[in-house]
This record gives sequence, structure tokens and C-alpha cells, in this order.
Amino acid sequence: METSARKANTAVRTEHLSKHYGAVIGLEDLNLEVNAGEVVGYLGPNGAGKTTTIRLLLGLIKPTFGRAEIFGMDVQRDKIAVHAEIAYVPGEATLWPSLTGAETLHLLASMHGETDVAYRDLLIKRFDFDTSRKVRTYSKGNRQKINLIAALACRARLLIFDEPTAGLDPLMEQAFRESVLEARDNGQTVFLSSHVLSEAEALCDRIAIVRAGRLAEIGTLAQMRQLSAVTVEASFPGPPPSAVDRVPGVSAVQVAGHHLTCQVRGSIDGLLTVLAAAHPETLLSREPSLEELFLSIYGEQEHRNNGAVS
Amino acid sequence: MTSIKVADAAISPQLTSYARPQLATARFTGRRIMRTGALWGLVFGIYVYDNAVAYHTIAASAAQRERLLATMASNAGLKALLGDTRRITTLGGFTDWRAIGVTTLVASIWGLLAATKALRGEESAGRWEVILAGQTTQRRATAGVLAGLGAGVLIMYVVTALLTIAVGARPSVGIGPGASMFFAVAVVAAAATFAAIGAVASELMPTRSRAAGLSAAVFGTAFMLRALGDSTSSAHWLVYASPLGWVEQLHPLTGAQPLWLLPIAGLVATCGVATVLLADRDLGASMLADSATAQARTAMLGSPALFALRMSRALIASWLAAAVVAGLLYGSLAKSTGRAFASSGSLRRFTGTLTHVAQHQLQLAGTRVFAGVVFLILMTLIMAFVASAMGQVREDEAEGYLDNLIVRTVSRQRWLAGRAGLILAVLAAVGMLGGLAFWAAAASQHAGLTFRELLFAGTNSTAPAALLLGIGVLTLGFVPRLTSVACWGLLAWGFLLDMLGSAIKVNHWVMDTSLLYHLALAPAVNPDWEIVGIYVAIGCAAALLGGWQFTRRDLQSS
Repeated sequence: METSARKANTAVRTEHLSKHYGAVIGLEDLNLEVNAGEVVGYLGPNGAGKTTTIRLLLGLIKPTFGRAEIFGMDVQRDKIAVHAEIAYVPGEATLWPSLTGAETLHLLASMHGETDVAYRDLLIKRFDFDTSRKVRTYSKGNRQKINLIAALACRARLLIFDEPTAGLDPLMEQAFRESVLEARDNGQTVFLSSHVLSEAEALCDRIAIVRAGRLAEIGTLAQMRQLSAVTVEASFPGPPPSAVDRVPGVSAVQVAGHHLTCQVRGSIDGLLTVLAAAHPETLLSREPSLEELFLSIYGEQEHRNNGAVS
Repeated sequence: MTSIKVADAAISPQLTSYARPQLATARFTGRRIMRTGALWGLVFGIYVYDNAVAYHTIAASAAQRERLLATMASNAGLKALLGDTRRITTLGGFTDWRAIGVTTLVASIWGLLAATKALRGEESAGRWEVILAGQTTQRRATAGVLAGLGAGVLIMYVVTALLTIAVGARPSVGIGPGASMFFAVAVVAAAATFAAIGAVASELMPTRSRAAGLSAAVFGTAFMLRALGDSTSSAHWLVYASPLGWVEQLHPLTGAQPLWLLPIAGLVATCGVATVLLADRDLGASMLADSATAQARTAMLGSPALFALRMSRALIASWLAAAVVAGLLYGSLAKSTGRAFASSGSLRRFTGTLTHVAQHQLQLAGTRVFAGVVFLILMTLIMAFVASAMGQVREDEAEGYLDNLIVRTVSRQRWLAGRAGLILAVLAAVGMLGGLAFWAAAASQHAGLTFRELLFAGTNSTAPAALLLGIGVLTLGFVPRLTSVACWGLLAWGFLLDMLGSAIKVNHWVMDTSLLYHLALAPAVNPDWEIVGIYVAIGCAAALLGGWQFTRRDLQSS
């Protein structure tokens, strides 16, 4: 039996959560736990099921199978109680064009029920946001600032962001990162769906990667790197050794003149032996970036729409 | 070794050319507008047929028909409603008067809505900037939209003309092809005029709703001028100050006066040119600049219902004002019109089957019959308000506005109850205010109508709208994408049945499906409170069922 302590420590929990749109699978059998106080990145390409997951968590759509809980409350049954604990920023919200920024913030705060006015004022300054203008005169980035400020200022226990920095300039992206870290320090939980891998890499304690409606990977960046290949680059006085291809665990070998790049999974001993025999001038090995991890999970075949890799 | 093959398509561009990309907006707009233009052309054709049949069935004998129509010709109230008459005792004169009076109003509203949607609506939705990024300029794109609107008007003309020619060719009708074609010109002249006015309004106003509001104000003024001019001999000149009056003066079936096309064409051309000239502005800007900044006013932002009231207060005020003005206008004509009505015993077929209950009282209560006809119109206007408001409710869901509220602590029940409650309150207010205004004006003429009976008539007139509201909520719950279609469709269906039911025998099971059919034509007869209660009860049940389903289903975006 699940203890209340565990429930209290779990911000988001899904069990076999699935959503089908007729024959199309929006999400399939998602089992996910997000602990209170952590920042979880939720990554995937377009159509992978990220927004479907978020709309299920918000109770905007109903699951075909499975269920989801937020802080131990069923998202379908206890919608209002759940919504009192969360703040949501969509990728692009439809706001009322005739309201000013200040009026919209007031409206969204009153619909949520509470807000930290002093913190809201700080956020308005941090995001350099002019509240006196009407929404229809705002750029996409400025409209997104309204959502961000409204969500962050209500100090909800769980912040759900769906592509939150779309349209923000680099300075504002920095302000967003600062605010997320502030929220984490404040004990808030953050569920961040993003295409900006550097953002997820910088902010997230754990990363979940969703693919074709299914959870492909979840773990800390370090855990993912351990499971992933290491990139090795070497340059030689002459042609690189052709035997590299045959070393167990080596893949993605690319040769450009006297320069060789490859990836190796598992023990690196065999590769080092072959490379050393060719007397390399330089040798560099590095862990994969999140982008490389992401691409390795998806494969370049899927990533490159217009090309083919053999 | 790894090698990368790149698909030929990436390095060998094979461009497909599109003919005259600068005409893309015209093609795109035309394709959409032509559909509705053709549909309304079809409805207008059916209406012409209805009138041609009604002429023969309106009275038992030719002598009776002549007496009845002569009575109508001198009836100020009917002139205010449908326009002036000319040779009304002939089939052409009857069709001219009745068909032009109704079709031009519908065509005008179609024109202004189509133009404001195609211009300001597309711009506000952000789709305009994608268009303008292509091989065009703002002026060219605007001209393209106007051309598309023109194509819609043209197809409306073709369909209306063909159907009118077909009806006119019947031996019992005998309207020549030339007259039929000119009749269609008169119908679409109103559409073109108000499409042009809507186009200018789209350049003047910053949002589609304001552009539509400005166009509707011009339309309302034009209608009032025409109605006052036609119903008041000392102020007949007002007809010439109204574009609707110009259309009326065309008299296509009773000695056409094509010269009246000149001011119409002049107005359309002037508005068209002005629209294109004004289009050379910043994207999103408007000529009547709305301040980009404002002091925050946080009143009515505390609950979903209050917020809905705040966002639609101008529209609601317009409906209330329209009900009051119409009530005052027609109330002031009640006494004189009632006198004329009382002299006619064959009015039932003219006003439609809905007035059948009043048949035995015509000679006793002519004024009440006229008031009943006015309240029937008020009834349909209130239903139009409900259809429009339910369309807006659905749009709030489809466009994502609703998401902002229900991801917070606003429940779906609370949101929907607030919206439906607001619509219910407004429809009740429109009905009662219309009744009060009619009473005030009628009382000033000592027409003999009591405050109580007109208040009851106003209340009675809200019943079908309350039922429509319930059906609208039911549709929103189960088939949200059809909400607007269902509401407008039921309204149009009721109209169509009334229209056909007055001319030909329609099975009573079919007539029963009309929301308008069962209501007593108060104050011509006393309201049937049992029927009103049934309407309201069914409406409530439908709304509860729809609301229950709305809380259970997925939100559905556009």
C-alpha cells in the first residue's frame, strides 16, 4: 500500500496513461513519476505526444486508458483541487486582444485564486514587460511573457511549461532560466516540455524522452550518458586506420582526410589499441551532449527529413 | 565507412509554378465566399417561389385577394417592415414588395459579415501576414479580397437569377427573363453595398467585431431611414437617404428603374476604392486608431460570467438598444396599422401559418395582430442573438481562450453556467425591453394595448430562444463543432417552414419541428403558458444534459 509520505513526495504520477485519437496514437502506456521539487525535462520531436501528455495532466482531455495523479489527486476527478496546485504555460496562448497586459495578469490571477503580487512585480521587471499595452499590440514573445509571469507569480507547487520560451529573445530566455531555478530552490516542481535542448540540459534534474507516443528514455543526464556512446575524434599523419570499423562497439565512423570521428559504446580498449597503432597526432574523447543523445535515440534517419544515412 | 547519401530532391530543385500568385487572395477568398453566396442565392430563389405561390393562395378568390392586398398597400406598419408597395395587386408587385423587402435584408447582413470576416477577421487572426509575405502588397491583397467578395456576389446573382427565371417561366407566374434577371440584380445590390461598407469598416476599425459593429450600425440606420420614410408620408424623402431605399426604388418587377443602380454602384465603387487606398497602412493598425495602451480597469475580471459580460457588453448593449428602438418605432405605428388590419379577414396567409391562431380575432384586435407580427420578428431576432452568442461560446473553446481559464481553478460547469446564464439574462431582457418599448410607444398613440399584455408578449417571445439556448448547449456538449451550425440551422429551418407553410401544405409532423410554430402570437392571442413552460423545460433539460457532457468530454480546438 502506498504511503502518504510517498504520495506527498510525488508531484506527477501516471499509470499506463494512453490517449488514442481513433486509429492515431497520441500517447501510449506512459508510466512516469516526477518527484516533488525536481525539474524534469520532457523532450520529443513534433507529434511525439508531449502536448497530449500535458493536456491529459491538465484534465483538458480524457485518457483512453490509464490514469494520472498530481500530488496524489486524480487529474480527472479532482480537477479544481489539482488546478489550484499547478500553473501552466502553453506554447502559444490565445489571449484577449482588447485587454491590457495588466488586466490580463489580473484576470489570470483571479481565475487561479491567488498570486504573489510582489513577486509578480519583480517578474514584470525581470522580463522587462510593459503591462500598459493592449494584448493585440504585443509581439509573440511579449504575449508569452504574460503567461510566464502569471504562472510563476502564483507560486503553484507544480509548474507545467509547454515550449515556454518560444518567441523569447536570449536575454528573456536567461530570465526564464533564472526564474525556473528560483522556483526549484523554492521547492516547486517543474515539468518542462521543450525543443531547446540546451535549456533542458541546463535546467533539468531528469530528462524524459518521448517517441511516437511512447516513453523512450528517462533518467538523469549522467545516467543517459553512461548508456550512450562516447564520441572519439583523432587525427593522423596519414590515412586513418580502416580497421576501426571492425572494432566491437564502434559506430558512426566518419573520415575526412586524415581526421576520424566515431562513437564507441562500452569498453574503449579495443578502439584505443587500433588508434594507437596508427600513431595519432591528436586524440579527443568526450561525452555526448543532450542533442547527441537525443539524436542517437531517434537516429539520424528520423531526424533528417530530406536525407538518408547508410 | 559511413557515407551520407542526400536525396536528389534536396539538390535538384524542381519548382512548380503557380499562375499569377498576386491573385491568390482573390482565389482563396472567392472560393470561400462563393459557397455561401450560392447557398443564399438558392434560399432567395426558394423565397421567390414561395411568394409566387403565396400570391395565388393568399385569398380564396381574386376579388378577396385584391381587397386584401389593397389594404396592405396602405398599411404603414407593413411598409415599415417590408417597404413601399407598387402595383401590389399584381403578382409582380406582390413578389417585388415581399421578396425584395426580406431578401435585401438578409443579403445585406451576409455582405457585411462576409467582408469584415475576409478582411479584418483574417488580419486579426494573424493569417494576413502570411499572405503579405508572398508576392503581393497590402493594397493588392486587399483588392484581391474585394475581387473574391465580388465573385461571391456574382455567384449569388447567377443562382438567384436562374431560379427566378425558372419560377417566372411557370405559366401561373409569368415573370419574364429580363425582369427576373433585374430582380436578382436588386437582391445582390444590397449584398454588394453592405459588403463594400463592411470592407471600409474593416480598414477603419482595429478588430473584426468592431468592424462588424460599425457596419451593422450603418445597416441599422439605413433600415430605420427606409422604414420611417416608407411609413411616414411627410418624411418620405428619408427613403432616398438610405442605400436600402435605393434598392427598394429599383422595383424590378413593377417597371424597373435601373437609374437607381447609379447611386448604388457609386457607393460600392467609392467604398471599394477607399478600402484599397486605406489598406496602405501598418499591419494590424486601423484608421480610427485605438489606443495601444490603457489604464488597467480590473472591474468585472473576478469571475468567468462577469468577464464574459465585460467582453460582450457593447454587443449586448446594441441588442438591447435595437430592441428598444424597434419597439418604439413599431409601437408608434401600432394603432394606425391595427385599424387597417382589422379591415382584412384574409391576413392569415400573408403573415404565415404562425398567425392561424389569430384568425378569429382579426376584426376585433387588428392592433394586437400587428403587435403579434412585430413580436414574431422580435422572437426571431432574439433567437439570432442566441445563435450568435452560442457560436461565440464555441469559438472561445475552439480558439483556446477557454484553456486559460479552466487550467486554473475555474471549473467547466462554472464557466458554461456563467455563459449560458448571461445569454439567458440578455434574451429575457431583450424580450421584455422590446415589449416595454412597444407598449410605451403604443400607449402614446392610445392604441389600447395594456402594459401587462405586452410584457407577457415580450416574455412569450423569449421561449423559443430559451429552447434554442438549451439545444445549443446540448450540441456544444455532444458535437461541439456543430454548435453554430445547429443554432443557425434551427433558426433558418423555422423560418423556412413558416415561409413554405404559408404558401403550400406542409405535413404537420414537419411543421412540428419548427421552434416558431407552436408559440401563440401574443398579444394577438393570450400566451399559452403551458407551451412556454414546455419550451423552457425542454431547454433546461437539454442544457443540463449538454452541460453534463461538456464536463466529461475532451476540449476540442479548431
